[in-house]
Amino acid sequence: MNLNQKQTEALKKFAPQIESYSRKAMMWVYILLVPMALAGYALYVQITKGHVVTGMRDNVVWGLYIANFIFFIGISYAGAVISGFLHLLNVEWRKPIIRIAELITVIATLIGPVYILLCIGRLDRLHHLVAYARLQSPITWDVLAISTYLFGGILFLYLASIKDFAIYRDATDLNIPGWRRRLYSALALNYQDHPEQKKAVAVSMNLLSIMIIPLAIIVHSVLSWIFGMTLRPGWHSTIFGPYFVLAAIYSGTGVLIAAMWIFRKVYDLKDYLQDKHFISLGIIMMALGGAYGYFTFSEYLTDWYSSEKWNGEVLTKLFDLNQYGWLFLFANVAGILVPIIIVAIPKFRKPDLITIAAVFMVIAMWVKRYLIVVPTLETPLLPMQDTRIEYTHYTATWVEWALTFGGIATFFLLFTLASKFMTVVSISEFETEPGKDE
Amino acid sequence: MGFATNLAWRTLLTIVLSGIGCSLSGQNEQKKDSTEKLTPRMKFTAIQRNGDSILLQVAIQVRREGVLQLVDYEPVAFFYLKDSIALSLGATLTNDKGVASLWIAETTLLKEDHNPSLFKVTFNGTEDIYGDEAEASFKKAEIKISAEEIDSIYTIKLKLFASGDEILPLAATDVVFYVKRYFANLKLGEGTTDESGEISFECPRDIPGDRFGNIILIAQAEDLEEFGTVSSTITQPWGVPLNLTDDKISRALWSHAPPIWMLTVFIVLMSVVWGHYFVIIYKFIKLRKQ
Repeated sequence: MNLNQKQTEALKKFAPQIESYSRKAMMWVYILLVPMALAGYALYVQITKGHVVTGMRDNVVWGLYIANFIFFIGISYAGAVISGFLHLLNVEWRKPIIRIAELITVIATLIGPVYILLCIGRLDRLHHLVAYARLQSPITWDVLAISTYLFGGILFLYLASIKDFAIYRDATDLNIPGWRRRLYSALALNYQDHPEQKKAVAVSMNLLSIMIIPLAIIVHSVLSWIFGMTLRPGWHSTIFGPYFVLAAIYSGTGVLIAAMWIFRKVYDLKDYLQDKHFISLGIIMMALGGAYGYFTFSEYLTDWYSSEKWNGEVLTKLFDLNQYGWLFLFANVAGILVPIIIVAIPKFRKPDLITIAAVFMVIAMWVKRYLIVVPTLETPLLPMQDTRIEYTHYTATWVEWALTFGGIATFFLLFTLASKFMTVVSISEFETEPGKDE
Repeated sequence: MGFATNLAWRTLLTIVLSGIGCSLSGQNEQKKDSTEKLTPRMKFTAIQRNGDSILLQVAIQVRREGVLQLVDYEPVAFFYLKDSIALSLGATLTNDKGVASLWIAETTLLKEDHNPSLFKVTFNGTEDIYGDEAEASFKKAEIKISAEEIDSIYTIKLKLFASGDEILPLAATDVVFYVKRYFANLKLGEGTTDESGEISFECPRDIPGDRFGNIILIAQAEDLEEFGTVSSTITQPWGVPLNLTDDKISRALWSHAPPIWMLTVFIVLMSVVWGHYFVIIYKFIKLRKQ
C-alpha cells in the first residue's frame, strides 16, 4: 500500500497505540479484571444456586439483566446509524470517529445478548429458541434480528478496516510481532489498493451503510415490541417502537462522545478528534434529546389523561418520591434537560462539558430502561392473589450488580483490546491534514 | 343582613354541621364496637355418588348489616354419630364460596337396613361469628344408570332406589338429567320416576364431546328429604368428537403456522438483508483473488 504524506504522519502518530501496552494500559486492564473476576464468581453462584440469588421472583420476573440488555443494544446504535448515516451523506468530519462508532456497535451487540442468557433459567434449553421457534413471537423476531444485526455490524467494521489492515501489513516501520503481521495480512484479503479493489470496497460499504440503517431500526423496534405487544400498563404503547429507536440513537451518541473524549485524552488526539467533532455530535445529541423528550412527554401524558386504573398505578409509582420518583426525576433531568441546556448555550459548547452531559445522559438512559422494566412488573395487569408480599417489590442483589459491572468492565476491556489491535482513527480514511478545518 | 354577618352565620352553620357529622360518624363507630356476634346459617347436605361414595357439604353464611354474606376460609369438622358418639371424619376449610366439602370414598357409613345414618358438622366461629353445628341424617340410595341406542335414539335408563339389604324403588321422585360441561352441568331433561322407580331420558346427538366424542352424563335426584342428593354418572361416546385443528384458522397469530403475510414479510426481509451480506462476502472472495 502506498500512503500519502498525511497517512504516513497519521501512522507514525498512531503506531505506539497498537505496537505495545504501556504501563498505564496494563494497569487499566488489571483494574478492569477485578470487576470481571467478581462477575465470574457471581455467575458461578447463580449457576450453582439458581436464580433465587437474584432479586427476580414470580411477579417481577425481569430486572437488571433485561435493563442491561436493552441498554447495550441501544448504545450499539452509535455505529450503525451514526456512521451509516454520515457515510451515506458523505459528511467529511465523520472520518476520525467512524472506527470508534463501529467498535461500539460490535462490542455492545456482543455483550447485550449475554444478559438474556444470564436471565434465562434453563440454558440447556436455549436451542429451543431455534428448534421450536414460532414466527409469531416477538422473541423469535428478536433472536433473528439481533443475530442479523451483529453479523452486519461485524461485516461493517471489517469492511471499513480492510484498508487499514493492508496498511499495517505493509508498514515496515510498525514494530509488531510476526504473527500479528501475518494476521493483518490474512485479514487484508490481498488488498493492494488497485482501482477495482477500491471500487469493490466502496460499493460494499455503500451497500452495507444503506442496509444497516433500516436493520438497526428494525432491531430496536423488535426489541421494543417484546414490551409493546404485551398488555401490561406502562408497556402496551403504540409509540414504543420509535421511542426505543430514538432512545437508542440518543444513548449511542452519548457513548460515542464519551469514547471520543477518553481516546482523545489517553492518546493525545486533539488534532484528530477535534472540538468540532464534539460540537457536531453535541448538536445531534441535543436534537435527539429534544425529540426523545417529546416522545417521553407524549407517552406519559397519554397514560395520565386516559385515567386507566393500572396505567395510573404505574404513573403513581414513577412520580412518588418514596418509590421511583427520584430515579424518574434523574432520568428526565439528566437525561433530557441537561444535555439540551448545555449544548444549546454556545458558551457551554466545549468538549469537556459536552462529554459530562453525555455521560450523565448515558447513565440517565440506563436508569430509564430500569424504570421501563421494573415498575411495570410491580404493577400487574390483573390483581395478584396468594402472592408473598416480598415478591411484589424488586431489589437487585449483589449477584446482579456484580454481573452488571462485569459487563461494563468487559465492554471497556474489549474496547481497550480492540484499540490495541487497530488504530482508533482509521488511517486509510484520513486524507486531510490534522488540525485544519475540513 | 350585611355581608360580614351573613358570612359569620354561614361559617357558624358549617362548623355546627361538620361537628354533627363528625360526632355521628363517631357514634356509628361506637355502635360498631358494641355490636354482638353474628349467628351463622349452616346448610348441611350430602351427595351420594354412583352408590360408592358420599360428598358431605356445608354452606355457611351470615347476615351482616342486612346482607347475606358467605363465610370463607374458615375451618369446619365433620363427624359420624354412632350410638351418640361422634366419630371424626375429617376437617376442612370453607372455600371462597363459603362451602366446605368432604369426600368419603365409601358408603359403609350408610346403613344397609334403610335406617338413617346421622352426620354432624361443627363450625367453631370467628371473632364476630358464633360457632354452630348442624346435623343431618341420610339413608342409603342409589341410581342405576344404563345407556343404549334404541331405534337410533340415545336412551338413558335410570332406576332410583333405596339400596341396602332390600331394594326399595323410589317412586314419584324428581330426577334431573345433565351432561357435564366445562364450568357447570347442562340440563338435558327432567322427569319423575314411575312406580318401579324407573325413568328414561333421550340424549341429543349434537352435544360436543372430547377428542374421542366421549361425554359424561349425570342423573341426579336432588335434595331428597331422607337421602340427600343421589347422583350417578356414565361416560358414553355419544358426543361430537372435538376437532382441535380448525382448518378455517390454520394460519393465525395464535396457531401453529403463521399468517401468510407474516411469512412473506419475514422471507423478503431476511432474503434482502442476508442476500446483501452474501454479495459482500462474495466481493471479499473476489478481492482476495485479485
